[in-house]
Amino acid sequence: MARFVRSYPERCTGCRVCELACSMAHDGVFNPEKARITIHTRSLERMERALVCVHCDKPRCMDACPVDAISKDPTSGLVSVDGEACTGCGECVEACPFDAMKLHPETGKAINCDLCGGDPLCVSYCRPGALEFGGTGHG
Amino acid sequence: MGKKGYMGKILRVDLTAGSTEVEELSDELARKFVGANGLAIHTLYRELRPGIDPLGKENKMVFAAGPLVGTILPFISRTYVAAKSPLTGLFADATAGGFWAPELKYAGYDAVVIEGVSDRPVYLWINDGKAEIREAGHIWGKKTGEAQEVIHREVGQRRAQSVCIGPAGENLVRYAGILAGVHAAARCGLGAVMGSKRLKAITVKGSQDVEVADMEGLKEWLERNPYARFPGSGLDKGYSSRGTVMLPELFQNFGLWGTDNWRRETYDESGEGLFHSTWLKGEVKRNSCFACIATCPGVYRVPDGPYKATVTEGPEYETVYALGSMCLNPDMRAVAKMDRMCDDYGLDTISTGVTLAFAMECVEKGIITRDQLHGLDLRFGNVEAMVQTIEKIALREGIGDLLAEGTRIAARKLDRGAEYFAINTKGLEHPGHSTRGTKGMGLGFAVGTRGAHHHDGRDFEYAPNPLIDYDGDRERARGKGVMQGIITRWTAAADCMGFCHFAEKLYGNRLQQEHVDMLNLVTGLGFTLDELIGVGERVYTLERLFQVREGIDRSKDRLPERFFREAIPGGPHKGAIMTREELDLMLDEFYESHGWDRRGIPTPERLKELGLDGY
Ligand code: SF4
Ligand code: SF4
Ligand code: SF4
Repeated sequence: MARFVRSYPERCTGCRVCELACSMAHDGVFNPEKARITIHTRSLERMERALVCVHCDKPRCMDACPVDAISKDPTSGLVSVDGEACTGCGECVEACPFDAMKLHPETGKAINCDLCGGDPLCVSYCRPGALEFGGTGHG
Repeated sequence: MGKKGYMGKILRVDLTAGSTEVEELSDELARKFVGANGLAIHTLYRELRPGIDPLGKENKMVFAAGPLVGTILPFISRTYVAAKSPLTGLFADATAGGFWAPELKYAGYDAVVIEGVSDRPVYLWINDGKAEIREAGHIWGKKTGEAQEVIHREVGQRRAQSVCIGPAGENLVRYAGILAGVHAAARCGLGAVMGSKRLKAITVKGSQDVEVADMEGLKEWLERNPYARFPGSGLDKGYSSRGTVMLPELFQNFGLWGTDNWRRETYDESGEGLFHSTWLKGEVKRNSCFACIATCPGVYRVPDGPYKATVTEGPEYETVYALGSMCLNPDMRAVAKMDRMCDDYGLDTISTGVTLAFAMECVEKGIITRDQLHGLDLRFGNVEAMVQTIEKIALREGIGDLLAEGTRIAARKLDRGAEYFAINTKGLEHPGHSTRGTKGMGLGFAVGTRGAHHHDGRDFEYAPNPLIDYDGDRERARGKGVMQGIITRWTAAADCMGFCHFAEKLYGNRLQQEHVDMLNLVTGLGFTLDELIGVGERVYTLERLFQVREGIDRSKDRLPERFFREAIPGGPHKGAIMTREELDLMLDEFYESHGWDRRGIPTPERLKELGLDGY
């Protein structure tokens, strides 16, 4: 069963530090569009929710991919994109019910949360404690 | 280009011609002025002839983001706006929290300079480097929240960010603000400047990188600094985590809470209705600005009464003061309602509240007559009349047309001694900090670039503070000029980098090596502490030079008469008053600390030292 970054919207302040930490870790720059976590804001007064991959048991992104670039690791449960094989068609982005898959603005390839290899940086940077590493079983 | 942190580009928009142009932000300019505030005063000092009409076609606006904005560094996300102010007639800047400035950088720019006047309502859409001037006829007249939502739908980007004016800015209310989301760059009427240009909004979105010079160094620094220091730094307590609505109770206890148009500084009989404990009854959640670890903005929903279910972010302390204690309105729910109205119409809550208090005292004294009020019962504490008047101000209807001019011009028009009740300095209405009880703040208001503003000089006199050589004696004048000299170098430099002034909770209110470290990790420009202090000095002095060119000197660094003639009547600071001798002493100290002469004018030698000769 996969672990994933669980979000608690009632504690989220909308600071978007998680996005910044993620792009810092993966791309060495600050750019929310390259982050694998996205803060969705519902109104100007800001009711927010973190959109991030929950590494589904039956990943719809994987089913949707026409070139089989997405796979789920049988042991860890991690859903990942093979950057070589991905053509950037965006089918997985459309298919994900959690808005957790996106296309990297530079490479054009699909990206999702990779759990930072087991030590999620967004979780350690989220000062209000709105993100936790844990939870199993989704979709 | 070698420098990081910057996008390296400035967008120049000529609304008269309907054209846009991209300029480079040179390394030399970055070194000398760093960004935002520095860039703005450098540009406006050189390009605005003295004496121009702030609401005419010659005025220009600068919207900017400092070099540190868009990185993960907390407390650094300010949206910076500057122009010649229609309220003070001087150079003025205002900043907002929120999310616009970082998005401007992701869209590819450090700054946008707006020139000319459009012949029809427009908004500017900047999308990943591309800029487009678009029709805004269909949103002209709309309130700020709705206008932003319409634009974001129209551009098809739900994560776009906008700076936007409401009806007040369109109607040239002299203290109209600019809203970024629900955060206001409120002061000095820059919203009216946007209105005069028929520019409804600037909307930005992008996916470009903000790079830093030393990422490894930055990561190490983050491990050691703000995140690690958060617990126990005081940030997890007090107003950094609970909001500035903590302050009314604190200031009531100090006896330094502007009340009843500053006839008093305590609100003994009903102030409790405006305390944090009352606010908590409607607290929905806590918010942060971009990349920030503090949670000072909070969302409040009016729990009951006639304004039930009104939702607003805030109100902040200044709003609780201006629309609350100043007008003897003890009802937090009504303050929240009016806070929301000001955000919707695009009004500065401080100037709005202080102008209402002015009007109420004029009504009391018979200076504003029944005929002028058309049935409005504008007396202290009448909340319903306040609500109605705010709308009239935004729409310039009835008495609102006069009050939309701000206290200085309204008092001149009313004459008959009205000036005495107009609590402004250089035209800017006073915020909720004591002039008589905290003398350094009084000086800060008298000399402030923007007039009575608590973000040029700062109010730091509640407890001793060795960092700025302050021993804790609030009412004493001596030494306060030197103290505000240190503080203004910091506020000016901080505004160049993109800092929120609440960062002072973590890094202090004097420029220190930590500020330089952050700047260097991001930009790689290798500043020294002395150099950064020099930037603060240069920027602050060039702002002064702009004001001097518009006729400011020592004789204009004054304060409202009330603070010289009436002592604080009760409370812990009973008897405190400002004397002319005290103000003179502090002015001398302050001018000297900046290297200005006794008339408050920067000397030619000083300008040379600062590399400002030829300006
Ligand atoms: S870091 Fe935490 S609080 Fe901030 S936006 Fe992300 S989830 Fe929300
Ligand atoms: S990207 Fe979406 S669909 Fe795919 S595993 Fe993650 S959450 Fe599930
Ligand atoms: S766990 Fe790592 S990869 Fe996943 S969203 Fe958080 S920072 Fe990004």
